[in-house]
Amino acid sequence: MSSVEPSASPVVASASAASRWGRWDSVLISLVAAAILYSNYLIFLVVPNERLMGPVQRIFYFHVGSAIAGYCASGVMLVAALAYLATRDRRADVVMEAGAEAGLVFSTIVMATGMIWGHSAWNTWFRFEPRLVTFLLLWLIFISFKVLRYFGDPARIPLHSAVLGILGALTVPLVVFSIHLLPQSQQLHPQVVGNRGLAPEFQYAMFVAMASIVALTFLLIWLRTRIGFLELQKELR
Amino acid sequence: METVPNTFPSLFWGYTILWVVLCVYIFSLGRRLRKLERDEHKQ
Repeated sequence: MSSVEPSASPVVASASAASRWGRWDSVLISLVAAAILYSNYLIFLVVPNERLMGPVQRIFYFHVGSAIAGYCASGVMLVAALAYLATRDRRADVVMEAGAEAGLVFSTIVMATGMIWGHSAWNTWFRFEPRLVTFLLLWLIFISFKVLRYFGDPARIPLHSAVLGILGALTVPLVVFSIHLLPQSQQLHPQVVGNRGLAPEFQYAMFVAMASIVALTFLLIWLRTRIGFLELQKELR
Repeated sequence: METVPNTFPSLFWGYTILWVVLCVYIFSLGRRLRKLERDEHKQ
């Protein structure tokens, strides 16, 4: 079943709405930037050094926040993929691509910061254990999504992307629960259960960092969706 | 007296990579948007 091209009017309306919402961009960007700055202030000037790992432990705040952001982006990708499969509306494909791009950005950050932290703390860049391997799989799926967008059959890209997007989103629970497949003694990646062992000053900084990065994720998805709608409008003219 | 290990270089490179990746993506979005707006003005 081929994609159903939306008639020009709803797409033009969507793009126009996106343009009108652009006036709120500066407000949203300012709020998110302020949140990021505040979290950086907490991370670098308020929380103390971790006793065993020293300063490198501060990577933890944006490492965990970026992982949560990647999961949120996967959720957006999943919803948009399901919407595309149900309606074959190209606008859902635009949102799906926006979610996938944000997911790729933040999962790349997680991989990079995790490897640097792991090398510093445990002298190991990467290890084949459940959490790291499943997250690598998620990252590779995001990469595959972009490769598909560039090199896939143009007529089938949205459909194939939707299937790949659902597969990627289904990997997220695998990543989250993989940490429990082995006992802590057999894996380097920490098993975190609630806030056990985390001092209050660390908890607050972690919460603020996570909230600010997730806000940044949704802002980037929104901006990318707006760009996608404008490109779709231009294509349909 | 217990000393904290000096892992600042790792912290520096971790955050540098983080901000470089984010800035590259944000700038690429900005460039794409400006190109679209230019094309729209030309029409």
